[in-house]
Amino acid sequence: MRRTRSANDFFVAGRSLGPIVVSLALFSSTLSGFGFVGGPGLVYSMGLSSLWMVMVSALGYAIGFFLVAKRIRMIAELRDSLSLPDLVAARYGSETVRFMMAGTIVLGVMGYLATQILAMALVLKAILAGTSVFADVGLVTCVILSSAVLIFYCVTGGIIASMYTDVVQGAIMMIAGVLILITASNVFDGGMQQASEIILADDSEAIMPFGTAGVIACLGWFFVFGLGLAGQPHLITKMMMNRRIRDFRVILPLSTIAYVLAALLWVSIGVVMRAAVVSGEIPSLEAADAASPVFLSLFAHPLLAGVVFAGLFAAIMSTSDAFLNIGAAALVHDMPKALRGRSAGNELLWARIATVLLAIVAALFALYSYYQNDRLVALLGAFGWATFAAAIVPVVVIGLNWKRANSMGAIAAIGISLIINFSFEIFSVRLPHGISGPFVAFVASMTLFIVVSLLTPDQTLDRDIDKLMDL
Amino acid sequence: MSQKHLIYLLLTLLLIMVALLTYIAGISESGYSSGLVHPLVSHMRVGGDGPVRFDAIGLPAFLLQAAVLILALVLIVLSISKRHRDFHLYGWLGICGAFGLFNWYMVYSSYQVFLDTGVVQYFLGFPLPSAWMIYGTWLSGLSLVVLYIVGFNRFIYTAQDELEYHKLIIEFKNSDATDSISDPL
Repeated sequence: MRRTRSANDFFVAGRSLGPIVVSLALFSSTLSGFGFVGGPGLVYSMGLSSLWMVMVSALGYAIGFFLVAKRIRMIAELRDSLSLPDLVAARYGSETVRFMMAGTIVLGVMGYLATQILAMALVLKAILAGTSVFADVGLVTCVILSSAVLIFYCVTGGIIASMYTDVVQGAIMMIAGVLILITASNVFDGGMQQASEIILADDSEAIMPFGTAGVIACLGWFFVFGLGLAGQPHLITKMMMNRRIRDFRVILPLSTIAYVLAALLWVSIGVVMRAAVVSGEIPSLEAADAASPVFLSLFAHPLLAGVVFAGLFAAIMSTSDAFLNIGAAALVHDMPKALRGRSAGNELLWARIATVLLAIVAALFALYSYYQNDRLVALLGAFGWATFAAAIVPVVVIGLNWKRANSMGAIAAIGISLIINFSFEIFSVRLPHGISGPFVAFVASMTLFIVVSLLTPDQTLDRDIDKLMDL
Repeated sequence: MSQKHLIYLLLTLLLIMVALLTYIAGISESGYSSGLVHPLVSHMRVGGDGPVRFDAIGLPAFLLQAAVLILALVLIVLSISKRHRDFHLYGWLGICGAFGLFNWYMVYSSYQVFLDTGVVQYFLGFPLPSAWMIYGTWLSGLSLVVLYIVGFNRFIYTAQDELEYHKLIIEFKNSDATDSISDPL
């Protein structure tokens, strides 16, 4: 196993990892605490609406691999890129695009990392509540404990620690997904069909394909989570880390199958918990996000519950590590490079300091969000995902495959996506029929990227990038 | 098809999506198009009257999703190097695309049948429209994964690509790379 000796090891694991490590790391970073805690909570709360986020995964992975995997890995090797902003700076020859991309990553990381920390603290609190000694431990203490463990893990191990634990954790998540499906199918004598019938009798829309949120909201999630997967920096950065380009042929199917198996947990827990509550079998939950912990404590064998909780913690830890990693890279590598032409001296030390600071700020953000706004963990996560999707997909996904795209188009796309996403969030803008802000931001940024690139002067590409884009 | 044509096709699809979203936003709401609070259970929502909230926006929603699925295919074609775009690629992508569109049609039409008749059939634990959404969407995505695996050496990274790439690396690493680094802000 490699050790973290340089910034190259800390950020991209020295581009030396095998296909199994990369594939399991890719899928487990996609699912994370959002899938384990937020996902079942959304099904409990909204019915099948949120399944559009997860069912699109196979299409999302395929698009991501077709459009970015090969070119990202090529540019990373050719230009010794350590981060996504490095890569876009090489593609567009623009430090403004690098700076905007780094800024977007830091903003998105805050939202997403807060989600992970909050999820970890909620699960820890649920576990401690079952003990006699630590039953009264509060959420603030749990956030502090979770953040402390996270900081130690990330600062010492960097991305290499995350990638290798992902292998163990990914295997646990896949097995847990299948076992949870079996457990959930046995909660009612008639299996999943009886659970569906119970929900149908209470509210037919909840168990129909568009759930309670309605068709447009679902299609918005399909678009943002499907096409947006290729714009998640914590995922596509991992596409720089494999040893050989040919490994992608193995990585894609492994990641997709692993994700599908692990996602069974999202579907089955949510449906069964909703049916159990509306049938009066169990009392209503204190919060929708309690669906997973309560299911495990009531219906799962203690050993399976223990395995799932361990897998959940590992999932959150490795995803958080990946976010801290790209956030630290943006702060100590990309922003200084964009502003003064070179990254911070002693990059490894500064990366570790930045990691600690990011974790502390995200923990404070998590607590603020939790106590000031009674919102689901999953929706906070979706905001992070949406920000990345709208800002990064046009610039990276289209930009790496279309030579006419230029830095003006990239600046316009990143700018409009940030303005729309944050405006919708800050001013609580609500459009009719469940049309979501992220959906609007994503469509607008893609359209603007193409239009501005076509209307502004053509840009000469560096010779190596030009040749590489022909391959 | 050239990059230029593909980009104009992509832009056309995006503009169609913008037009459909604008049209949908202009349709008056039933009052609970995004669901209602459950009357008995806290932290839970209900969908309410399905036919009422689906009636006006069903068709534009169907067209919107069809545009999204075609857009995904166009993006995939864009990602394939021009010299590898041949009849086989378009044929395979056509099959995958047709599968995706057929699945979406089945989700939409079986749901419409349920709204019209109230009759529910089950498949592997879920009502038929939801089963199409769950299993069909996964499988239609997997068809593209299979295309990636099967077509990798032919469309994505051929032996010739590999050779040219290694040549490029050697050429670039041996040359003075500083001319390609841009100035700071």
